[in-house]
Amino acid sequence: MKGKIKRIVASAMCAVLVIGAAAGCGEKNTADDGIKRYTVFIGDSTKEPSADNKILKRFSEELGYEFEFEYLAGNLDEKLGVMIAGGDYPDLVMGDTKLIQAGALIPLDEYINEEDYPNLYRHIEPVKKRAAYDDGHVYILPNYGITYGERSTGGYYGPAFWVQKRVLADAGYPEIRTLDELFKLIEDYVAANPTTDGMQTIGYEILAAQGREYVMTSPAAYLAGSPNDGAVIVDKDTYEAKIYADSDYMKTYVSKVRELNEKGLVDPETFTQSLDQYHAKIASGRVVALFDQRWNFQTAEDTLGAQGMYDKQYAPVIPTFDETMEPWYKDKTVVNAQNGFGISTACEDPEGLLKFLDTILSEDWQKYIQWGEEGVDYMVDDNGMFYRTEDQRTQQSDEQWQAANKIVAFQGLLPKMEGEYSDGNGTDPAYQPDEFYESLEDYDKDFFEHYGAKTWSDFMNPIRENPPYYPAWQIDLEDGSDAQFANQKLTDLQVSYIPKMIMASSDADFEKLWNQYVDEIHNGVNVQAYEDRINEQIQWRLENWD
Amino acid sequence: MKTAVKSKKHPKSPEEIKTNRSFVQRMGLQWQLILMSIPFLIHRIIFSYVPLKGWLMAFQNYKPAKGWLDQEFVGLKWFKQLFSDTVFITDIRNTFAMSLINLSLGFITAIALALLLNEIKNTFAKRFVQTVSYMPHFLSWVIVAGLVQNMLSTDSGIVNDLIVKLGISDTKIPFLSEPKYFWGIVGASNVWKEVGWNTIIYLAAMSSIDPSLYEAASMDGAGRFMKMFHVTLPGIKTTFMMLLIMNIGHILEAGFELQYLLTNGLISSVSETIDIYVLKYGIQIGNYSLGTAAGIFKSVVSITLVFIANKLAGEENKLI
Repeated sequence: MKGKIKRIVASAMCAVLVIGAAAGCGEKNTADDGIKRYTVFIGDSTKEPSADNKILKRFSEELGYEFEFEYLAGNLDEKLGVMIAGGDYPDLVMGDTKLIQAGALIPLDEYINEEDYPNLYRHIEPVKKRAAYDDGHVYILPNYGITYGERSTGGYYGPAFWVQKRVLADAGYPEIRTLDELFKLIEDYVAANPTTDGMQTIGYEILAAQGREYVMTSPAAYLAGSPNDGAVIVDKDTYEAKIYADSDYMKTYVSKVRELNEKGLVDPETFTQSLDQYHAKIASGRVVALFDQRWNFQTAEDTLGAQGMYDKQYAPVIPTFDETMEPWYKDKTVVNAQNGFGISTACEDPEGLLKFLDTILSEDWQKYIQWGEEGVDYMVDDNGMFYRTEDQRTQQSDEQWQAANKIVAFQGLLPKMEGEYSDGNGTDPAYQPDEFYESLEDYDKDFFEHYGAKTWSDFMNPIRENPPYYPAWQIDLEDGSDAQFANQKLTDLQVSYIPKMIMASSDADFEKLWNQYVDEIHNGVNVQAYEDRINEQIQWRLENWD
Repeated sequence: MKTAVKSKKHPKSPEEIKTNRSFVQRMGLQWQLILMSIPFLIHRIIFSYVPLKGWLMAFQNYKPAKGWLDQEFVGLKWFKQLFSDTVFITDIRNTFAMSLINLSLGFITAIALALLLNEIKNTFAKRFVQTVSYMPHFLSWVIVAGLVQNMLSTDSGIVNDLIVKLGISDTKIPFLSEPKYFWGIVGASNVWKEVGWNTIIYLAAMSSIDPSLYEAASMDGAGRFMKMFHVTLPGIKTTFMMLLIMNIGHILEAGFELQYLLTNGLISSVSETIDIYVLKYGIQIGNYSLGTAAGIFKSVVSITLVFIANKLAGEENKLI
């Protein structure tokens, strides 16, 4: 008996030691075979490349770079928090201001110069100030928003109210200007079509899941004609930011959704569902309308497309509270500062990694990554313009094909060229005039025609010059600060009160809850600290940018 | 402490050793025991005491970029912030409430099931019930939460379908959006998942009860239920007390996953526990100091409760 226990204990200890040793030895970036290997963290859990991915294979064979990817499982903030608490970073890491504050990222501007990294230099230099963190250093290479040329993309992935195309078609392709018109449209459609494919039609869907609270909390700002400034509305003349959680705008929006709910048009499970359940509902094709940013439910729409249910996919509408307000949903492309990849202090050979990033920012590699292989993934016409054949287009949306031929998640965070190449081709098919329209399904072409549109952007407001400080949503609140604490409290209050107000059974109940809610914001949340931080940063930007 | 307990049972007349010899002499006599306990002592020090230096964070304005001694000290700021936050106070209440529900339901159901299983004479039936009832223990909470969510859904959940079809209620009940149901759901889920597993230890304790006690009880004319109450239950009393004291130490751990996975804005006032608070206001927004302060509070309460329970348990059941 004793001997047995000893053996068990001994083997358990051995196991612990072995595991500890294995985890302890960090690998050198350059192995004996001359291949540089880096670990990469991607804060996204979808669309992983397959083992024999075409692009990754070329990275390895032609450039001598191999990557070991770690994808996010769960909540990003938690994952980063744990990473920081443990001090254990991958080489190339999805950047976040948390990591900058923890001193986990190296200042890239100190490395990037014209001589060693010509492409990176060309890419970053013009937007250096906007991409920089508070201390003036660039830690994260923006993944989007650095454009070449004036061309704009055919797709639209930003905020809007989204209505199923069948609903708009049914109503005779109306122009929706106000929230009342939109809700009337929903009401009429559901009354006429109570079921969809045998299931109950859902009028309006809201998401209140953790990390995506903006779906529930931000519509009021857009309805009031404010661009995407996060939790604040910024005065257009004085540039002073104020929260709108306690404003009349919010009250109007919530009370109107409450009226909709009273008519049984809001999904009864809307506030208890997770992001996955939300996607599943949208993918079932029975959700008539919702507010969101398109990237957040894109996968669900893709599923609808894969089943040929184009009429149940969505078109953006941009209502305001009344017709005197100008909608401002689509903004001019902004540098997606503090989003993208950063290189961690744990990386032993950052120069090697930067060299890789520099190489793939060359036009040849950009074409390969964004368009694919000439003659295989796209064709070139007599004028040197790229286009795709029908088959080439169709395979693009096949998820398995994507996994083998594209690096969707990786590319999502890598710095990239957007706009046009020096030869006049769009950087990717969405930027190629004609190619975008041609890539549409027949249903969509017909739908576009009724609205006189060529691209999704034509459904949006005309682009205006962004305010000089814009956008406020990118302002970093600094971890552990009072502003950050206030922001979390405010979000929590909204997540707990807005559903209650929407589900309130009478106007009197609603009023009571609203007063309680406003009272709690004013007495329980340090709103001042939050607004001060935002205003301070807006002032800083007004002084230092451009 | 452990060695002291052991020395009491030492064959070489312990009383004599205790009174007549010096501390060093006594150490010398027990050197094998002391030697054997050293690895465990080291293990404890490394994994339980060394990490306590992290408690410093609760008194600092901790920023991960700096070393842990270069931080700015802020005294009791974080504790004050915690206890002036009504959400935290509600979270303490929720944690205690759910914990007590889990604890009492857990004990009652496990002992009841163990008593019943103990009476089954058909080995196959007994094993079968036992196996089936402890299987859910091996499911992760993520799966259990998914099951619960699907079962209770108003959309096509089986529970609501039954309620409507059996005519118990005309309308479907929104279980997961009404605060009053939540603690019950957590309690029931816990019972479903853990009841079989918890019976194992009681069944083991029951099997060690001297059969002659049952025979004697039969001679005195005791029936099945009399035997259960007067032989089986007293027989597992020590096991019960031991488990109770140990579990009281965990009373501030009402569970985290289930609440975290099932929560939503409508019921967050009853579903949020201290652990979720730490996650949201500590780790998630990078305020490690606040998280640590809440952790210290938990530890202090747990230790106090264990000592109180130990005291109340009476001399013969004492663990410490």
